[in-house]
Amino acid sequence: MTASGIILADGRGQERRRDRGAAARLLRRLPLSAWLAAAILIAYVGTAALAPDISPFSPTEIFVGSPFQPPDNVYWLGTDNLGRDVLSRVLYGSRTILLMAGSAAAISAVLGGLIGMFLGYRPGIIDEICMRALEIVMSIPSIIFALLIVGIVGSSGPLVSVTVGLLAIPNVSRVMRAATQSVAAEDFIAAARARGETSLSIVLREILPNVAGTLIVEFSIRTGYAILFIGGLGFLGFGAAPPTPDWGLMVNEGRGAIDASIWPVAAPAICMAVLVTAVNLFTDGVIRILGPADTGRTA
Amino acid sequence: MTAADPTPLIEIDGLTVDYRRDGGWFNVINDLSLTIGAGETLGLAGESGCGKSTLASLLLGEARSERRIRSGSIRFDGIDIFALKRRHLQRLRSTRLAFVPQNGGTALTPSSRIGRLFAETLKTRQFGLDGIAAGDRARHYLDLVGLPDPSGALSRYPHQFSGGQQQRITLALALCREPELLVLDEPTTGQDALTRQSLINLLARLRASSRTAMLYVSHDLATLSEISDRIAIMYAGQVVESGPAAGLLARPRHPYADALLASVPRLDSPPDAARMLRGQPAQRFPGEGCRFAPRCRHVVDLCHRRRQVLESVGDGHVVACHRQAEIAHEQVPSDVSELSLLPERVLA
Amino acid sequence: MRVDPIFRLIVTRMTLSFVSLFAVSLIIFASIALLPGDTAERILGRDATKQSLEALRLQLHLSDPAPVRYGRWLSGVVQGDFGRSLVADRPVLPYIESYLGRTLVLGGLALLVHIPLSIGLGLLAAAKRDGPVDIGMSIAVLIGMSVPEFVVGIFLVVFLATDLRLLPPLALIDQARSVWDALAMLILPIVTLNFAMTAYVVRQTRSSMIDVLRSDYVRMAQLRGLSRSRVLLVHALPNALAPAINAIALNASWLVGGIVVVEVVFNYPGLGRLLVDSIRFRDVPMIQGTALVLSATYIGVNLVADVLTLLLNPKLRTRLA
Repeated sequence: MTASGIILADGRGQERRRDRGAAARLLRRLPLSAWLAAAILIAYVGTAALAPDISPFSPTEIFVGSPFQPPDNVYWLGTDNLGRDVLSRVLYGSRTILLMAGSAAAISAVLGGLIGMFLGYRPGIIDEICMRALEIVMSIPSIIFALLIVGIVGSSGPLVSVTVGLLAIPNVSRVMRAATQSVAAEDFIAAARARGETSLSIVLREILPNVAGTLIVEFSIRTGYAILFIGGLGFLGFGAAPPTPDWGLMVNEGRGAIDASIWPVAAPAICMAVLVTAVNLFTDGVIRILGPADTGRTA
Repeated sequence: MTAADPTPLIEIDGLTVDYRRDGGWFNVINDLSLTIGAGETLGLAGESGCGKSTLASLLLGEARSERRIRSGSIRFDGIDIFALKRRHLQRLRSTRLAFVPQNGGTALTPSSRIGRLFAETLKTRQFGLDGIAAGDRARHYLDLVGLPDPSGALSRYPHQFSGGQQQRITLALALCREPELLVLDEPTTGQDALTRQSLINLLARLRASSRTAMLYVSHDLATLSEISDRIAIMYAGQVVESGPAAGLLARPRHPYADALLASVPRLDSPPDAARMLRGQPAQRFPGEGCRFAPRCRHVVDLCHRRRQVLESVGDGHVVACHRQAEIAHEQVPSDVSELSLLPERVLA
Repeated sequence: MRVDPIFRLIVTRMTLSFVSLFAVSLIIFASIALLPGDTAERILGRDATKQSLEALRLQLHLSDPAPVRYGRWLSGVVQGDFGRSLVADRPVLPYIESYLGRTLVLGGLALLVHIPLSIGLGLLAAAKRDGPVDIGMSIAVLIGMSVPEFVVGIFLVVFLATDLRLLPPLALIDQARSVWDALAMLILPIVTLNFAMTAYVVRQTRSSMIDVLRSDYVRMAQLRGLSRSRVLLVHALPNALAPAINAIALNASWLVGGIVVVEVVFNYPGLGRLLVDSIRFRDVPMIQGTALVLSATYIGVNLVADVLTLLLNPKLRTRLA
């Protein structure tokens, strides 16, 4: 039986045990690297939340210093191409990326999860049609589509988040569908049906706890991809609208004068890399404790 | 099987093997000595975890990083297996030794056609068989093990066969070299009764017609009764009793052997609860005393302290129990023919 | 006939791909034509004069309903007419052809390096398992998966091109003076692309090789006395590589998208950079053409990868026969 939820369903289909201890036991098996990663992630979230309080300058005020100034006592990371304080932009930029990537991942996880569970539980003609439709959506290279939408409509944080989120739905729903199918084949689901429970109730109370682990892993993975993807879009100039600090865009803006000062490029780049590394490490850790079988992936 | 036999094919002498687990070394085989004569079939019986599978794979010189041989030796035709260089061991394995694992299906390389598996065994320099002769021999043995359409089978992949067929193919692969020693590690476990019976019959025929010696490892005494010349019973890494099959099964002397025999389901008589096994084997065995003592119904105080050695009770039958003579008086010889090949215990 | 079911499968996949391509062309056209706001205004900007807006509307037949415009565009494409670039006032197709060629060269070379490199590293990590080499590679893999490719590209340029002056910083390959020159320009983009791709495959290869080496059939092959090289090459490797091939196929798909960013970093005159530029300049016919061809390439790569994976897996192959 899976241990991916706090509610475990007994294999014989007769009982449901509430095992609060299961979650705590799982957490204890989390490897050290995952704890470190979690700490880093919390630090990022904290920085994002406290950005207005800890930034020395406004991230959008131009020419507080001359452009591409090297770091000194006032501007700890120097200034960028428009004379803005790099440190402040980096700090505020964490809000931008976390919000965008987080909401994109949430959209794909929630919608993809719902679609996947629905398709996985009810095989049949609807399942066939939807799978074909999802395949077609997946045959569009995401970056091209994102460039089109954002490029035509105009840079905007919410638009990017929604687009990236929607584009990843087929991937998540595929995984969730497979996970749902394997859970739905178990005896206790048949028992629940025999008891006369409605489909909705079965999906929410019996299936969901057992595929929750898979969903969490998917969310984690999607967040990592979203950060890289949105960073790339920002780099190409198709991210959040300026003057909102966008780490990807900052890298692009700073690379012209990289010999003058490396920090306008290095600071956002390093922050992005560390963030994705932490997400990946955390994902690895979660996969390790939930077991590859539960999540449909190998670490 | 008399003392006048030439050098036994297999001589295991004082073998002690440990397994590494959870950072420590656990003893799995303890000061074990055993012989197998040329052309003889030795049945090795015991519960799970008694070390019989380990012993089986050691006969082929299998070295594993989580395993170490603390002392003792295994000699095949006088050759010390573990002193061999890799190349020589390979040659032995490809010509004179063969192994049949428990799960025949997973032992077949998924990416290889059956024909190729035979070819790489038969078309080596040692065998000097060319393609045609190799193919003929492969087909012959596939037919022998009861596989339908041997020619077609050669061009198919393992996954295209059922579990029972896969087991037969693995057996055919082992037999086609006509080895001097065939080691079978529970080859019929997990098969249905019909498949099992046909495999046993096949092995019995082989035993009659060839000079291949066999070590047949099993937990099921009923199976062993049908094909073994001699039987050795292992408990917790030690041989507790061994001897000619008929004699041993008629009158097991060691309490464990007796209990094992008592737990074989019979068609005619109800189980003798008093003689059956109780409890579980322990994990560790501090001290020199008899390892079966905690579960033995004839245990006395001396059993926990005295080291048990194999004593002869005549006719090649040896027992490692200092009370075996006293216990023997209590026993009634049973009829070996009652041991038919019954299905495994019905109760969980 | 044994060939027939496989043939049938390939044809089915190809048909699905065509359907996808058709659907994609619809999506591309719709996303440009059906977005809110006035198309002409969006192209020329808010401050455009009324005349220029009118002229553009006429040129693009914007008064016609969208489905008609789509049909016109699609029929043109099928006949090889992708329209005229609004910026360069020249037919779109020749641009696409030459830029596509260069993208294919870069992508193809990157894959050519990627496949042996990543499989080799994965096998090495499996062989030296838990040793310093393996651990070092795990860290490198983690970094490779986490650092965005544009960051990798930029820093490679900074260190190798600008500081050490070993390689040219930009891949302006149409200005290359010789083949060696061109190859030198390609090295950094190829390395950048491989940085991200290799990580996944190394990981996959390593773990599947470790599993395979512990498998019953490899053990059996050893117990049958086969030579070590035979056990590794015939029994272990083919089974270990199957998941790795899958990962490589995924990478090939990723490549079509990732190459866009890399082309921009290195100013490489490929189809990806053309797409980005044409979007920036609102060159609608060029956008549509470039997006369509890039998507077609993506679909084509996926098709090839799917079919190859199918053919290389004996279980799937025989299930059809």
